[in-house]
Amino acid sequence: MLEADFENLHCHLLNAGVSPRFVRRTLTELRDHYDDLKLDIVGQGVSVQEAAHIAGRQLGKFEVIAAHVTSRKELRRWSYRYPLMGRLALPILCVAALPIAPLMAGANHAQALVRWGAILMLSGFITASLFLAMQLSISLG
Amino acid sequence: MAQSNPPFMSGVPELLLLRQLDVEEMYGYELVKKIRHVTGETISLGEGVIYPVLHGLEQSGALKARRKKVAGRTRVYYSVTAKGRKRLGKLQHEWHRIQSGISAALGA
Repeated sequence: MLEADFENLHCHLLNAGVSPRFVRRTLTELRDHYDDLKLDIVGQGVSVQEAAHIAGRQLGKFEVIAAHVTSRKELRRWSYRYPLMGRLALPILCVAALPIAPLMAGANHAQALVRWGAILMLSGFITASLFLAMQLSISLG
Repeated sequence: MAQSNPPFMSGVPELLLLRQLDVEEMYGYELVKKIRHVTGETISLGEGVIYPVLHGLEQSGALKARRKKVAGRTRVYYSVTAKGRKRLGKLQHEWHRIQSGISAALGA
């Protein structure tokens, strides 16, 4: 069993909508299982190459493992489990997030916004004072 | 009225896994070896396909998983929850019901 086989399984499961959390778990545990099998078989006096071959056969075909994982609805991402809900709820959530996003950004950069607001007010005050001075100089002749 | 049993027949790996994990917590490879041993090698689960079953049981709350470092390697150990014990009881009951039905049929 080659590393490429594990990578193929990884991509296949993600594309089939399996939750990334379970894809990672499955791959990690399969790799560990494969290593344990190999070690045990080598311990019985079999060559490393032969042990790798036997371990791969005992672990099973990746197509079969993939079919078992993808057949379990509870291991899929929620948008794959409830596709209709995903299609309806996601746009609503996105629209709801639009007005919230600037507020969230504001909360995250509150200090910068206070500084920016203070400078804006100061410049407004200076501009207003200049206008007032100009107005007074015109009015008073 | 006789109960139908298709879900039970597909629940045999679950029954075996829950029964062994009810005795002690184990990781996948250990579990496969244990099942092979206790069933006298008459039942050998597909080694790679044990993980989707374990993950499914975990997702349904019948099992809980925890990472444990043993001899420099991090293993995922599974153990049965209260919900899992309840499910095990139900599966065992179903198994005995079917077994007695089949025994009666064979003895008849």
